[in-house]
Amino acid sequence: MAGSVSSNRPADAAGGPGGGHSDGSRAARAPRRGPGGTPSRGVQPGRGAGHQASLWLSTPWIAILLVTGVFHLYRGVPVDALVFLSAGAVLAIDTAVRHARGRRPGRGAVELRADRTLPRWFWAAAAAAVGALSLAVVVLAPASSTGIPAVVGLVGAAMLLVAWPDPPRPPGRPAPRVRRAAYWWAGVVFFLCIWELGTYFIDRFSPGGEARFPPLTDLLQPLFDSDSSRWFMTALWLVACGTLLRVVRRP
Amino acid sequence: MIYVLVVAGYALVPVAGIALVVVARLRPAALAGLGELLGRVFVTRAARITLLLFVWWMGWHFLVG
Repeated sequence: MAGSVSSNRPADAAGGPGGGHSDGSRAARAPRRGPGGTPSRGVQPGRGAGHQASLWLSTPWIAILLVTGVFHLYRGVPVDALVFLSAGAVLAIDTAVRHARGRRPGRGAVELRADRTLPRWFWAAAAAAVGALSLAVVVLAPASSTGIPAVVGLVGAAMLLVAWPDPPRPPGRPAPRVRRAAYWWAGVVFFLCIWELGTYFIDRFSPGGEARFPPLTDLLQPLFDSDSSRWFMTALWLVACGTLLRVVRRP
Repeated sequence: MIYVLVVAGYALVPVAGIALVVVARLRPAALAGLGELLGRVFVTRAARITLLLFVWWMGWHFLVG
């Protein structure tokens, strides 16, 4: 309880990230102080996860991407399949290279990485501008125009570029409350996947097609097509993208 | 009837998600919040890119595809 009262950050909980380090490394984990005693925003010590990729933590995510890509191939959507398979391949190569690099003596243990140098208001203003522009294009541009795919594609490219560099967070054994949350949330997402796959295959192979098993797309697509709700669903998606990026870049 | 059952299954997902958020708020010592969990998961690059790609793909799927 004490860990959660003082802060919501995982590092504050007993056994949280960083909890696996010895006491002697406590000084190394403390943020560097700049002039005046304020935490330095220039360079922070980074260790482990950012440079020596963990095969144990990375492989399941890469497998998810590859399985999703293969499923899209089976579903007859090669462009979507290409997106997921390409991402899976790039991450597999990146993980293998960083893992091999980290195993070499003297490399990958402790490195210094440049933190962001631009002020926080700049990122907030940039995100708001990109969000407003994207929303305007998606809502106002004709459905057949190239503006919508261009804007959605650029939003995706920008997200992946911002998310690619490793954040300056130390790895470590997560607290039990974090692991418990992971199990529960994974269960919810797993249920959604099983339900979606189940309805897809039952609908595909049901004899005669007398019963209807709607996939999630059929249920949500009208909200994106209707003029009255399209702006809201687009804004919701943009907010989700922005919120995830905020978590990614949170120091 | 089957249609309602399928929709009810999908409806369970946001209901369960909201329940987890509420429990994390009420009993933070027992269950970490979603933001904290994601912050921990996002330490791994493969996890970050995979989850962001899925969220982006959903937008592409519904708005473009």
